[in-house]
Amino acid sequence: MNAFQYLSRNWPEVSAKIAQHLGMVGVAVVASLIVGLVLGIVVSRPRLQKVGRAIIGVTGIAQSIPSVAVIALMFVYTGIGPRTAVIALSIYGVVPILFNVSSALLLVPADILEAARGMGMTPFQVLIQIELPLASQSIMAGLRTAVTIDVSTATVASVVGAGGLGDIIFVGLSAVRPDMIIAGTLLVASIAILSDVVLAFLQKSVVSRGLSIPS
Amino acid sequence: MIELDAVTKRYGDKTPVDHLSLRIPDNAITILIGPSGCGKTTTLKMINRLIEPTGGDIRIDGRSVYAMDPIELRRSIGYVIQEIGLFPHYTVEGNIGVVPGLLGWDRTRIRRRAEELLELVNLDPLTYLRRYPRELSGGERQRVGVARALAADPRVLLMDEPFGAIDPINRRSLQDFFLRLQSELKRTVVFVTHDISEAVKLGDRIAIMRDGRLVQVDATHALLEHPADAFVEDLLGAARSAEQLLLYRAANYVDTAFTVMTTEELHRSGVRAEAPLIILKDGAVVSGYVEKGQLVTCEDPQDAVCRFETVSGNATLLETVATLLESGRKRAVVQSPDGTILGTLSVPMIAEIMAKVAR
Repeated sequence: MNAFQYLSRNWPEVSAKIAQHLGMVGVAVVASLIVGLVLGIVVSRPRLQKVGRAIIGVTGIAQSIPSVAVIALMFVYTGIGPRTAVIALSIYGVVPILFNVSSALLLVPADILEAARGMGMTPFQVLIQIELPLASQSIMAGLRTAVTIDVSTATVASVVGAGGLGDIIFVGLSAVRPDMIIAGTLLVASIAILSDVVLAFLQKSVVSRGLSIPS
Repeated sequence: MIELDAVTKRYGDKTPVDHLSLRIPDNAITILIGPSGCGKTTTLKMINRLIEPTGGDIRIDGRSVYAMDPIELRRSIGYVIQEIGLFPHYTVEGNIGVVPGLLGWDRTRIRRRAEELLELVNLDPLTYLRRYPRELSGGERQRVGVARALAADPRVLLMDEPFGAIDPINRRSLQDFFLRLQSELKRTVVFVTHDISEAVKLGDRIAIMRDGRLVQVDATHALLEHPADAFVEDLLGAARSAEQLLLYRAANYVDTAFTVMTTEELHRSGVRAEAPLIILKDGAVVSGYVEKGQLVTCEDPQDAVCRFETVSGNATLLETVATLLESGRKRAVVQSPDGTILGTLSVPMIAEIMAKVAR
């Protein structure tokens, strides 16, 4: 049996795995985005420089831990099931988003911030109307990285019983079924590529055209 | 009027602004100038409370800015900075609409205002409303920056070296443009620059600062004629070369000793013109002038009336001299765009100004 035969014969089960996979990634990415945005904003406030450095330091270390290890570590605390996977993926996905959000916010030119303040924007209005839109390109790039990482890392989540497309690959591995391994791999890769394409479109509509004009 | 009253700013042991007291009159351009680090920008930013002072008070029309909400205060004051600080993710319309948006204007009103302002700064609304700042030239950005500052029709404009980053040729035309605009709008402008030529060209009044203190403040021509000390004289240096002087505004150097009369009044006033100079104005039209001491005879009063040239107050002294020499007339009547007679200039007067001021 080749990979495509496997897929067509087992489509109901496969589609359930796809749904699980997407569900895990989706919830994790939304959580990462919220946490990453909030932390990124905190880190980039000049008044919170010390806190910011600490947060960046900690996440920098977190980034050096392999994704499998993060899932394994979470397993110690939250046991078997998709919850463990979602928490692990959320934590792991925060890193690229936080880095991109904070560095982009710190790069917003001082004269633009001063103009915004001088025109009578409140700090919150400056953040919402000026800083975040100017950082949007970089934030979207961080989001895309997080999604790509999460889609592939979620495969490993199978080992803690979280389900998803990892199940197909791991079963294929233990049963020596190359068709299953290839089918699972193809699906994971396609989801990663497709989600990136979708996000690229989203990026175009989120990021102002004025920012993509070369200055 | 903006009154600065013993305004002081300290950072640690540094005092960038030290007991500065200054009155900034309405409807005129007041320049703050001095070497870098003299506190001019700090002073400007204290007016809209981007920087809070350590001591002293600033009042606008008698009301202390510290009694106002800083956010509302800033929305009521136009602000233009060096590099302009246009928001690159907003279109020209979006940029102009920032303060009106903050003030809660509706979309159609903002659109109308943006169109109006673009026309005011000589940019075609159809072409420019939808453009982004990065699609504009440096000079166009500057104009949009000025339009943005004027969006909510503020009485006071604060400008921090707005034309500093522009090449000399474009800077000159932006300065001309700004003067035309100001003669129409008559805002209270506080303008920071380190370029003395710009200061003399634009300023109705110039305040010279050094080490956080006010060295001298006076009307532009008075300052040029009577620098208070060697420091001011040094600073004026380049601006006092004859070549530079000729580029300065006629309005700042006019002889204001004149009386306006109608032709009938002149006839009634007797045979000899007693006032230093009489300018004849019938209705809105200036028809001629009579020098002091000239005989106005009853038989033919028009004999004594001289013909003249009219120049705009924004014309340079050079343009004024050229106009006079080409026409062979002796005097130019300097008028503001709305027709107000500012005074008169003659070639000998300009030569005298140059002899007094140039070195």
